[in-house]
Amino acid sequence: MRPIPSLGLLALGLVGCGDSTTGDSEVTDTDTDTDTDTDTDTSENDSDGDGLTNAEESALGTDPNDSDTDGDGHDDKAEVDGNTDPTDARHHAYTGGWAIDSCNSGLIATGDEVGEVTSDTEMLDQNGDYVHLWDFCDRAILIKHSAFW
Amino acid sequence: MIVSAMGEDVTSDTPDQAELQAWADRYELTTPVIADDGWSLLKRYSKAQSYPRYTLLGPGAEVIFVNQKTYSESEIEAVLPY
Repeated sequence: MRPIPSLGLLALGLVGCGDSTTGDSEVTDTDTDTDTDTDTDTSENDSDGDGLTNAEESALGTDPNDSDTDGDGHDDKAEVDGNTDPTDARHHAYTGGWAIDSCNSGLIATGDEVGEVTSDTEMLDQNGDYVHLWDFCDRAILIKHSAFW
Repeated sequence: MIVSAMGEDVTSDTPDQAELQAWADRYELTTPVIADDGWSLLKRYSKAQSYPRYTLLGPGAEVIFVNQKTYSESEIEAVLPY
């Protein structure tokens, strides 16, 4: 006869503690979802321990089982907090330490004439990072176009 | 924020990271020094490809002026204190 988990055990299962002693795969499935589907995960679980819940990772498009989805060496949570894209390996905190403005993901380019919102760019910098102009969208940017000679 | 966009090295190639770093070190630059591959950034704002030139973006990445040989403090101050 199939053991019926008590309400207490069921509740624990829903928050990720589970009952691994019953041998009941249906019960343990609810707390140890490793197949990355979010159907059986509860929204408060943080499978990869990166500080983002699985529900948040689903909304962001990041991997709930990988704390560094894009493999750039910066955890997903740190990227979210730092206003960078956790799914883009070339977009992360700058080695140069330049702050990244939170408006960088909300701009819509309208053109490159005076008075228009210029499009973003991605260019190699002196530290090997890729600079995005929109990362500095909350301040003035003076671009000096030059050459080495 | 001042961004130095370097279009060519001494051999007219796109600068690599080591050259960008050397430039930053030489002039003690702590702001971004970027490789403007094929002058794409300069060409974005101007058909004329003479340099040095200056482009100013205001908050929200709004283009304030493009392709100027120089600039005045008042032009900068107009978009400060952002």
